[in-house]
Parts: sequence; structure tokens; C-alpha cells
Amino acid sequence: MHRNAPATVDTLLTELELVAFRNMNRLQLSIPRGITLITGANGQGKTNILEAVATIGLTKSPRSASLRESMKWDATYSRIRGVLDTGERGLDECIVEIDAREGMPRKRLLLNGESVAASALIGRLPTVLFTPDHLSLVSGGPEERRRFLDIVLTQLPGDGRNDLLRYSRSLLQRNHLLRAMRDGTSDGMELPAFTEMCIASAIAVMAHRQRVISELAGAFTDHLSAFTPDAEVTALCYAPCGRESGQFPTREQFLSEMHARLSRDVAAGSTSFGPHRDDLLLSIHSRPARSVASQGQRRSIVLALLLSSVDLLRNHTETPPLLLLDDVLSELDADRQERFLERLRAPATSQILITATDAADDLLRLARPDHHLTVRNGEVSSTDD
Amino acid sequence: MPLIPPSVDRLTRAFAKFPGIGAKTAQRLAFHCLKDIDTLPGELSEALIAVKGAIGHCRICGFIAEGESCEICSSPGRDHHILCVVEHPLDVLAIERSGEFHGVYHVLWGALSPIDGIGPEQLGIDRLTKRVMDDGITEVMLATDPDVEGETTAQFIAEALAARPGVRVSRLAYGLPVGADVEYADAVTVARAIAGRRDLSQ
Ligand SMILES: Nc1ncnc2c1ncn2[C@@H]1O[C@H](COP(=O)(O)OP(=O)(O)O)[C@@H](O)[C@H]1O
Ligand SMILES: [Mg+2]
Ligand SMILES: [Zn+2]
Repeated sequence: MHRNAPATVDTLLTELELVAFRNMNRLQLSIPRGITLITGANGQGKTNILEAVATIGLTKSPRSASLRESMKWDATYSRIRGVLDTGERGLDECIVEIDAREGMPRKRLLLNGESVAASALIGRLPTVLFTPDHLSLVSGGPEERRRFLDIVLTQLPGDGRNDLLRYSRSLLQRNHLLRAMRDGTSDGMELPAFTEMCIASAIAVMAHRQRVISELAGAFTDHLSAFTPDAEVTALCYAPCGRESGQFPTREQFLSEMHARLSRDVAAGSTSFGPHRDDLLLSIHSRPARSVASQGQRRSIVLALLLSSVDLLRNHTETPPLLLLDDVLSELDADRQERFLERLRAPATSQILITATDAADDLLRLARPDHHLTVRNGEVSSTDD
Repeated sequence: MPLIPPSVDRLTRAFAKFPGIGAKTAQRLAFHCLKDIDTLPGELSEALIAVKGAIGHCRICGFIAEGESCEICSSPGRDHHILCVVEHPLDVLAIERSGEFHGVYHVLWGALSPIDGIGPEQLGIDRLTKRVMDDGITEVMLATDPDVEGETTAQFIAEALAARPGVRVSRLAYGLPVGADVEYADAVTVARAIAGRRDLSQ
């Protein structure tokens, strides 16, 4: 399987420097190849470190909508600096900074000292984050599954991120207009034009998500078979606009759905049809996994999904993604931990950061970390010899 | 007594109204004016008052003008039957830099944006369609920004003009990413966008 094919380049995050980020005043870390274990009691800053790393890859925080929240409470300037070793292409310095010294906090992205757009940074350090929240990916609502898909999608080369942004902006504008129509402040003359924009970008978004799901599905069965004997009867498919039939709405169908729902949508002040209602359907023996899967099966499915997303990023970005496992291994039984880690090791990934509250014997035995750091009150020390 | 006199505070708040100027920078600018108290404030206020007295919007196209109509609308060398619709006056300058357009303009001073309460009425789309008819315009080039609001505005205008016979409507083809601004586009990009414009009239 493609999983074992060598990636052509191998990007490593070699240095991480934080200034006034969350509970860290100033932090400087070098991160070597392989598995780094970060331990510390609750509330010391483990998740904060992984959040900072993920922010370099995604140009935004994977947990809060605004980076302002991640700025140290008493600070007006905060910075994340990462040095990427791209092998043949040399070093890239990526900086994400938040500056509130002028009042309104402003975000700035820098690549090798030059101010750049997010699209210039995204994809340089493909990142997969796995947290205990993901454990409810099967049983939780469609929103979590869309977020999982979109984090992958935005890191792939192509227009995926652009089209997602266009769709959410079009939808936001259309919903505002629906509300203005309901409140009588607009006659809605421009509604057809906004509907048109929504549909055009919606169709693009659905095509991207379809592609991601069918590629995930390609690797999914193989990964799942490592954890459960039901792999062959477990399926992954796309429900565009929530349609469980998997039927894609054509432009005309989309338009007639929008028409049919118009009076209800005006009353509600929001659009009820579109890919913001998409779902990723998971089923066992054609029944929804949400209702028929055991807790063990659900976890297996989540692990297989994450492994498939690692493969997908690796195939498209030509570098193994950086993997962040936040406090999640301890949630898995030893057997699952072992198989999961086996599939994640090089060449699937080149760097893995694992956090845990303590360096349990099981964890040390299974993860065999190359490096071990401990965090206390926002300060990191190395326990390597 | 406040530490900062009200007049200086007022100046600071005026500077803070500029895009990209925060409270701190506004204060720095205000204090810079005071440092050069004998020359800079006089120069600045004279320039502002001159602009206020002399500059208005062109009656025909909405671009800035000293007097009734702007340089472009008054020029006999331009083709007054070809119209380019833009969001902002700076977009006119960007398109002029390309040297590829010889018609006249229509400046909307914005784009459709329900979030900001800007609809067709605020943009004066009726005035635009009336102008197209009254002035015998044969081609309308839509050069609004390539973001959601600009694209929607172009779409809306194209629809509004669809029923008019003998008017060719086209949309500039920017190879610009989402959120890009026409005003920042370089001459080559603009020239390419004009050359590759898509016909929307069929
Ligand atoms: N913006 C912030 N500024 C300062 N401290 C913060 C900020 N956000 C979170 N913290 C602190 O960070 C700590 C949580 O760190 P976290 O990385 O989540 O801990 P853990 O090691 O359990 O993963 C808490 O003590 C919290 O008060
Ligand atoms: Mg944590
Ligand atoms: Zn004019």
C-alpha cells in the first residue's frame, strides 16, 4: 500500500519558540525526529504546546476561533515561531504573531521574514491532531465530522481552503440578507445573486469533500482491519447536504431546494440547505455506526479515520504529516495503543508529539519515545540523558 | 484637568478613523503634528480644507472630481460607450495603470453586503442601469473585486442588464485569490484580467 512508499521530502519542525502564548512567557524547544513524549500534571501547559505547534501548520488555533484567546492574558503581543527543516530546500522560518499593542488585536503571518497570506503557510507543515474530543467522532454530531474533514481539506494543495472560505462567507451574507428580509429592512432584490454565489461555492465544496472521503475510504478498510474483524463490513460514505442517499444535488435541484425552503428560511433567518449540513456517514452492515457500534468498534473506527487522514496528507503533500496526540493514548487499551502506534511510526510520520499526565510504564514500553520532556507551570525541561 | 488637552484628543480621534490606524498610532501622529507645530498643522489643515472645498464626486461616474465631472468623463479621447464598473476610486487608478482600457468608469463606492446593510439601493444600481440606457453604452465591463461581495455585485448587475438589448456585459477574469483587491493588483494582472474577460450577455 502507498502507506509504505517513501515521501519525496521530509519536513521536520526542528525549533519552536513561543512568546506570551497561553501560560508560557517564553519557551524555546528543539524538537528532534521521532517520538517526543511530553508529560506533566494537568493544567501545566501540555495542550498549549501542541496547540502552538498545530497553529504553525494550520495558521489558526485548532481549538479556539480566535487566536486572541491564546495570547497570554496579561500580554499585548504574542508570537509562535517555528523553524521547518525541509531537507533539500533548506530551512523555512514560519511566524504567527498576534499584536494588540494598537488596541484591536491583529494577526500577522511571516515566512522567512516576509509578511504572507495564510495560503502561503498552510501545507508546509501538514499536521494531524488527535485529542480525546475525537473519540466522539462516531457518536457525536455531524459538525465534528465536518471539522475533521475540513482540517484535512484545508491542508491539501488546490482550491479546497479557498472554496470553503467562499462558501462560508456567501452563506453568512445570505443569512444576513434573509434576516433583513424578515425584519423588513430589505426587499431581497439581491437574494438571487447571493443564492447563486452560495450554490456555486457549495458545489465546489462538495466536490472537495467527496474527493477527501473517497480517498479516506481507500485506506480506511486496511487500517480498520488492524483493530477489528468487522473492517470489511464497515463503510465510510458522504452524505452531501445531509442526504443519506449520497445523491449530489445538481445546480437545478439546489436552486429548487432553495426556492422551496425560502419562506421558512426567511422566518428562521438562516439557510437550511447546503453543505453546511454535510455528513460523513459511518456504517456497519449498512446500519449507522452511531447506533450499532460498540464503544470498542467506535474507537477502532476513529483510529482508522485518523490513520487514513495521515496517509491522505502524506500522499498529497509529499511529506509525512506531523502528528500530535494530546492526552489520548491513555484512553485506549494497550492493544489498540500498540497497533495504532505501529502504523503511525516512520515512514507514515517523521515526528510525533505525545502528551500524557504521567510516563506510565505501559506508555513508555509501547510508544518507545526518543525524547522525553516535562512541563511544569508553562516551563519545559528535558529529562533526556 | 485632563493630561491631554481636548484639542489634541480630538485630533487623535480623527486620525484613528483612518483604516489601519489604531489608537496608539493615532496618538503618535497627533503628537508628531505638535512637534512641528509651526508648519505641519498648517500644511495639513490647508490641504484638507482645499480637498473639502474643491473635490466632490463626478456627477456622471462617481469618481473624484474637481467640479461637475471628472477628467475621464470630460475627455474627448475616451470611448464613452464602453463602461467599466468598479467598487472604489483607487480601482480606477489600478485599471488606468494597465493602459488597456480606454472607455469610461462607474464607481459604486462599495459592493453588495447584507452584513454591512449595503443593498442595491445604497450602491445606486438603478442609476447605473439608467446611465447605461441613457448614454447608449454598448459594453459594460464588471471590474468589482474577486471576493464574495464583488462577485455577487457583478452577478447582480449582469442580471439587471440582461434584459437590455445591444449591451454586451463582461466580467474581468482575475487570477487573484479570494479576498484580493483590484486596487492592489499590478498592471500585468489587470491587463490579463481585461484581456481574458468573460462574456456574460448570452
Ligand atoms: N490565554 C491564556 N493566558 C494564560 N494562561 C492560560 C491561557 N489559556 C490557558 N491558560 C492556562 O494554561 C493552563 C492549561 O494548560 P493546558 O496546556 O491546557 O494544560 P495541560 O497540561 O493539562 O494540557 C491553565 O493553567 C490555564 O489557566
Ligand atoms: Mg491537556
Ligand atoms: Zn466621471
